[in-house]
Amino acid sequence: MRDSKTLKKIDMTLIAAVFLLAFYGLLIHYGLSTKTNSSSFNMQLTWFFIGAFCMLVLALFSFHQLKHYVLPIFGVTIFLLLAVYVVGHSSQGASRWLQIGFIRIQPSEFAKLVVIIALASFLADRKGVLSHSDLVKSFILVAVPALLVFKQPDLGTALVISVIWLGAILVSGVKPLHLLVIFLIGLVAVGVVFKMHLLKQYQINRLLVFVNPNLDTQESGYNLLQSKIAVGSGGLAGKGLFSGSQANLRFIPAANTDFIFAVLGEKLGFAGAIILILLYFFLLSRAISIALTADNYFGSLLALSIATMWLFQIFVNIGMTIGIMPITGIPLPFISYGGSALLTNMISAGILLNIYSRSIK
Amino acid sequence: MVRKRFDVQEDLQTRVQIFGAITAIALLVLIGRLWFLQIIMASSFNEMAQNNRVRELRTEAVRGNIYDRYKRLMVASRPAVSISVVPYIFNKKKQTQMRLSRLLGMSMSEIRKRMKDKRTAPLQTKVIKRSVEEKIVYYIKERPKEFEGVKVDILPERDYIYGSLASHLFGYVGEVSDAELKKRTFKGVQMGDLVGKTGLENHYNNTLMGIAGGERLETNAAGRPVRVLNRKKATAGSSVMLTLDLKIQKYAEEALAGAVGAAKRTVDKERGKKYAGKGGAVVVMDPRNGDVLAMASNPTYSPNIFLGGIKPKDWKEMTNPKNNYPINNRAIMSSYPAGSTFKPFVAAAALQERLITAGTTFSCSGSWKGSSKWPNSWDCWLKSGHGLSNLYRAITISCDVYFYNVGYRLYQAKGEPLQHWSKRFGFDAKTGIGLPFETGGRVPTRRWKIWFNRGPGKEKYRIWYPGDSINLSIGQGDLLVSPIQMANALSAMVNGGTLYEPRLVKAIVSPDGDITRRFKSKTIRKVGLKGPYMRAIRQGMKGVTSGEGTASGTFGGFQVPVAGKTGTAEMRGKQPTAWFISYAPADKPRYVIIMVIEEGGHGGSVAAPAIKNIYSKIFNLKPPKPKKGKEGGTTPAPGNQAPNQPEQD
Repeated sequence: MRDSKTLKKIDMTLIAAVFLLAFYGLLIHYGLSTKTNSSSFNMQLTWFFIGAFCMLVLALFSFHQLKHYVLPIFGVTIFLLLAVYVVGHSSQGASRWLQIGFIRIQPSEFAKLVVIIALASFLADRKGVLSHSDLVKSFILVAVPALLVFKQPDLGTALVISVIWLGAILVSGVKPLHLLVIFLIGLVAVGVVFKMHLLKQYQINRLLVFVNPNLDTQESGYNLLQSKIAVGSGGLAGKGLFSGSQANLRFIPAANTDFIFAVLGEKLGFAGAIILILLYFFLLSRAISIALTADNYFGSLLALSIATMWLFQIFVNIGMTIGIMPITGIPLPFISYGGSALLTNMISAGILLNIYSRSIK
Repeated sequence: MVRKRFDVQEDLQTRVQIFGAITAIALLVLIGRLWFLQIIMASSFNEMAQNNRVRELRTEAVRGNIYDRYKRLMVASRPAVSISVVPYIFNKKKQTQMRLSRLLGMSMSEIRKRMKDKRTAPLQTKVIKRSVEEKIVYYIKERPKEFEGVKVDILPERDYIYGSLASHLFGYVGEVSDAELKKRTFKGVQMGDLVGKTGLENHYNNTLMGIAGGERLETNAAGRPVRVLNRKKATAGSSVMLTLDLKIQKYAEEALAGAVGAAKRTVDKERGKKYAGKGGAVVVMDPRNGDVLAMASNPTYSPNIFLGGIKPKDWKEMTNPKNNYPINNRAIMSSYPAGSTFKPFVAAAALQERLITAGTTFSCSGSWKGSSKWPNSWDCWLKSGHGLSNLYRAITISCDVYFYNVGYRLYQAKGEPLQHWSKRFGFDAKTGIGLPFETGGRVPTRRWKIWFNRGPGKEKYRIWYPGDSINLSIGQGDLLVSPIQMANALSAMVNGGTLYEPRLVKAIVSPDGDITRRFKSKTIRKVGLKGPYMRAIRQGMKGVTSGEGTASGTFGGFQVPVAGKTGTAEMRGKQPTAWFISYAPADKPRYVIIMVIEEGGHGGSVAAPAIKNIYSKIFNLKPPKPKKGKEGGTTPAPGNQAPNQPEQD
């Protein structure tokens, strides 16, 4: 019964939330596209179809099987992350992409999901009791891809991976003492990162600007201000999908990726933002409830880790756009431009659907 | 096994619930913040978005021309090459800034100051320097890469066609100063705009300047324009048509310069050195309506030196006391004791108050005392004395003793009649000619003396003594008269008693050439002096240029009858100021010409010949053939008088 290959139940709410979010994202990209340039909308649309297909495949495929493939998937991912350094495609000083034929993939996006699966698989076997060595092992499992991503440099994704680990061990019943140690080690690590100048100047500037918004260190202060102006000037109902001087005249930096929420805020206003947040609420609440009803520990951990990833990305991305979080390059799930990200998110949703269909009751 | 698994699920459940709560809180925090930004702060962010998007570009209006009374062009605007920069490019190029600074000879701080203008930044190009030399322009144009962000613009610039001619009337233009911006002296002016600093350029600035046009542009984040929101053409400034006669102005300036030069070559026998001839002024007026036909001041300057900002060296020259302040328009800004040229007005007061008649005679022995008890006496300029004179003779020979007697009577009369009638003639008040910095001069009164000596310990100076009136009666003492006041007062005397407001601007001409506004001559007042009295005085002034008159040497045999009055005004510690006031033709006056030469010596010998030259040219006369033998026929060569004969006052 539990391992039945047929789908018993379909979580229509989750599917609706995912599709609506993706459509919403496409709408924003459509609003951003011009007569002469609509390539980003077209690309995103293509990726949506690929993603939808993958989601359905994953939904049909029994997620329990994932456990058996953890090692090869993990190995391939590490290989791809390393490959980025060798044959990676650079953009704006960071090498994050691999060119494969016509398409360009961002391995770090997939790495997040791979880490989730590997971690869930590893922790599920421990069944809620974590020894020192388990903790260290789980940490190493995460640290390798996280460091590789961090060095690209992609601080945002590295942070997401770290947060996934933190969320997973919290849910898996980490002892308070261990937590304290992790916290202290974390503090030391932050100190080392700063002391050894492991952060790029722009990353430091972003933090400085976050602490003091009036500080105009190079571009960061300007970016944050323009983003806030865009969101604020959107008002209640927004300026319209095709209007919005901040977005259309390119005052908003990275308008279709990191700062896409500023575009949404300007064009569709508070109302549009609330709709987005409501869709996220449905998405997350489905993920959480799937975690509760999953038929085993592995499923629960998978679902919760996916929810952790999404929540963290949502909060940090929107938060930085409106000035309550520091600027880090974290994409907004289902909305930001990026095929790998959309694909990863839809595969994640597929896994959720899968867990749900096999859940107890 | 089963039991344990249940526990695990139990724990998991709580943790997942906590996670759910965190999710809800996180989303609520986002909503709260969005509420603040998009609902509460919306309008202020909206304004910031507008400011981001819209840029204004100004285009300067072409300044109006200045014409003479026959619409002959005197001041125009011509295109000139200027160097501007585009701040958003130029700001980032330190190297280019330094090169430009060296090339234009401007300091970096000067350049930076010009680029800093909060209201129009960053798209508006900023003019760094106007009227740039051609070779600098070529240097920049040949190196577009090295001078990125530097633009060569053609901007209208002032062209003072006749150089220094009438420069004191025109004034000059310059970029509006911070103080003028702060005080809002001019309407709709922005930093970098050219405004009139002095003279007519200043007084008629709003008429001449026109209205700047501009474009409101939508720009993208890079500051590049994407579309024009609206566009307004600049409206050229209107032109000003003066009452001035270009030719007479030229004659007057030449004559004035000649007189100042002559004074400098003349030896002051009293002091044993040459006259300083520090400067002078001339006014030519039409007494029939108060039109200013010419007005000049000396020393002079060319307003062209102010184009593109005056060089520090030039400014030093202009303000050096040694150079006698060439910027000042002495015709309206300076006032002097009038000396004997005041006598006609003293006579007017005395006649009107019936203190004398035209037939009243006084005897002159060379000096005079009001009473034998007086400790000191007053000297006549002619030490040997003039003998017996009536009013006519007293004016023609400028007998001081005659006027001492008149002054004493005026002192004794009630109500300060001399001061009263002087003021009726416009002394002690600005004429209202419509030029900045006009002085009102001064006619001393009893009240004035008390006010002037109001300080402690000055009580004894507050009393009005007979001597004050006596000094005033020969135009000395505390009297101060500006050249324009004198020209105006004399005009009133010769036109039958109408004091006009001097008219300098005749009309305003639109950029299309239509007259949009005419200025009528304005009467300040009827002086109120009875006709026969004025005729008697004019009779005396006619006598000045003939017979034994003090200017007969100059005007004897002149083809046009000229009437006038000489004056040599004393100032303590200075060489005398030379005056000549005149009008012609004597019977039907069309021109009043007055001239003052500061520390220039004797009016009859310095100013009168110069004025004769002006009349000669106005009436298109050939220079009279020098008459031989007779003394009165030739112009006395300055400083060449017989030693025993005192100079005529």
